[in-house]
Amino acid sequence: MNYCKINGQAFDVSVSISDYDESFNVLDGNNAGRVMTGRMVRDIIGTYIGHKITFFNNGNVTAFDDLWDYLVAHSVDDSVMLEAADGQTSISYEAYYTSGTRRLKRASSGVNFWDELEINFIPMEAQVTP
Amino acid sequence: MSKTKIIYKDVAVGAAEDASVSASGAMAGSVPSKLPDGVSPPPIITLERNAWRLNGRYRARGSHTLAFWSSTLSGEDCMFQASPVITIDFDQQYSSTGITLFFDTATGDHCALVNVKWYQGTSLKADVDFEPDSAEYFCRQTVTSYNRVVVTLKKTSLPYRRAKLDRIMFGVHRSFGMTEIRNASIISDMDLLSAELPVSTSKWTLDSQEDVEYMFQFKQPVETWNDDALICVHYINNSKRTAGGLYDVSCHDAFGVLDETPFPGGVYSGKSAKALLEEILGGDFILDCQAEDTALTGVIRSGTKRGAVQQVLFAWGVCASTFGTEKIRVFSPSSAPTEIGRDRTFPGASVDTAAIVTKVTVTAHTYVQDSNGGVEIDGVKYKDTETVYTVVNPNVTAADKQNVVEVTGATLVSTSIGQSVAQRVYDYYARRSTHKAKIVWRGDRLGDCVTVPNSWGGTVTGNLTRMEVSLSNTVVANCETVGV
Repeated sequence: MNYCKINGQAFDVSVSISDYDESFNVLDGNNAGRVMTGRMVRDIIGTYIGHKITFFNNGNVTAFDDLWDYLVAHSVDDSVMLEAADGQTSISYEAYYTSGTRRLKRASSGVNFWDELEINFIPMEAQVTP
Repeated sequence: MSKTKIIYKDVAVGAAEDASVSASGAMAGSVPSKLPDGVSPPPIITLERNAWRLNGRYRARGSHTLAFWSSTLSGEDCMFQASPVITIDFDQQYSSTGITLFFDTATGDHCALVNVKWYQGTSLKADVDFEPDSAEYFCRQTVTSYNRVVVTLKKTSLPYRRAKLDRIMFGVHRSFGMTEIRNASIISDMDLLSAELPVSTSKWTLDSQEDVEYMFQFKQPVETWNDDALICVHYINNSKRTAGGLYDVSCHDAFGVLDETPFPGGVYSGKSAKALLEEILGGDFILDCQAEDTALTGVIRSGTKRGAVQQVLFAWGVCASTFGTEKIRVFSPSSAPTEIGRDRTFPGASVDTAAIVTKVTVTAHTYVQDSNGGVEIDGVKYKDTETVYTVVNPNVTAADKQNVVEVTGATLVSTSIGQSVAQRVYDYYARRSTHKAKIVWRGDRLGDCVTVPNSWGGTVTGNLTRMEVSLSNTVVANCETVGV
């Protein structure tokens, strides 16, 4: 099982993961709202299953930099194909991300040790639709 | 949890009606001319190898119509010694993104190799082999301006089978869900008096998830469904591609199409209104007549078919709508209300009250053939004698402003119905309240008599005359009802 495979490249092999969240969001359309009785009328477009993954530098500086470079390079793509854990298996979906932050933990002998890179992968399409 | 979809009939409009089919290698009893419209036989019992499943669904051929079955069986290698060929010729030229082959859809039996050639005259425009993998298969190939299609059925999917075709459709039906549709809306109007015949419109943006080059063509039908309820059938009016997979599409209803079709006019005496409507429509659209017929006398001047239909409806005293049906529904508005409850009405309902009408006049027309007449229909001149019928509002007070409604151009209103038409017009204008409310749509149709809650604890009853529909999986409509 892959925990973070982006466009077919398994980054969880070379980079460690410190935090891993799976979430789902139900999106309602513009026609949702409350009627005169006060009851909510839903307008369900679909449910989106996404992942927020936090990577950390477990000593492999090059691999951590490669991941950063890869994410930056593909940040201008409409989407990436993400394979991530779901239950006891994994799911693949088209995902986009809009930001990433890493923290400079220390610098030593001319080497920067970056750490804690958190990426929120958001599905392009609903995985579950009415 | 409801679901809305738009079914776009991406077909060459008119091709099925224009198609002339011939075939070689057809089994006796096949009717290839049925291919453009299609047939739907049940699973037919045959002695082809492994074909007859003993599941109780198979039927003897009997009188079931078969569009095309090959006269010979394929061989061990599924190929034919002489491949059956179906040729479709058209009088006009058509464009489509491909053709859809419906093989033996009842059993799932299909061909595995098919060659399709498209010609413009004798010029070969495309020659493509397809390998169908199901009983309904779209042969994707965009070809413009073709007037001949040749389909060669080369190979069956199983050995020792006949090639079978139920239908050839010159295009494909595509279904778009709300994940592919943006900014979809429908504006549908109806005039209870039929003093005009409004064109209903719809527009939507397709954000296509498929790698398909769409070729939206004028008059292609588009059905909008919410679950199993048909909202409307509209026809492509124009489209604009704004990005790779982004298309802005606007459509109008049957009345919009009729507005672009000329009508030469005619002179009628005691003519059945229903027959006259069908004559005007000329088979372009199906009439769903739910009103009692009447006889009309007068003329319809040359113009558009929409204008001609409006004249008939007004004189007949009925209304028409295309909302909620694939036909043109002609009916008398209901007066038995159904309730649209507070559980599907959003807050913010309001009521507009129109000015009082003090008098209505309707001009009836009598046409007599006269070489000096001012009305010319089909090269013959007629003299028009006008008679004015009036209904005065008895409740007008000194404080009321004069407000006279005049109807002068209703050329099918004869003297025999002039007074009753004037009374009908007056009765319509006596209904001065227009109630506006936003509701969750659940199959409501224009013309329905409904009771809708207002914002001050009561209800308003009237007939639905306008719906501005916002499409999503839950359909919401800003409605107008004309009440008393």
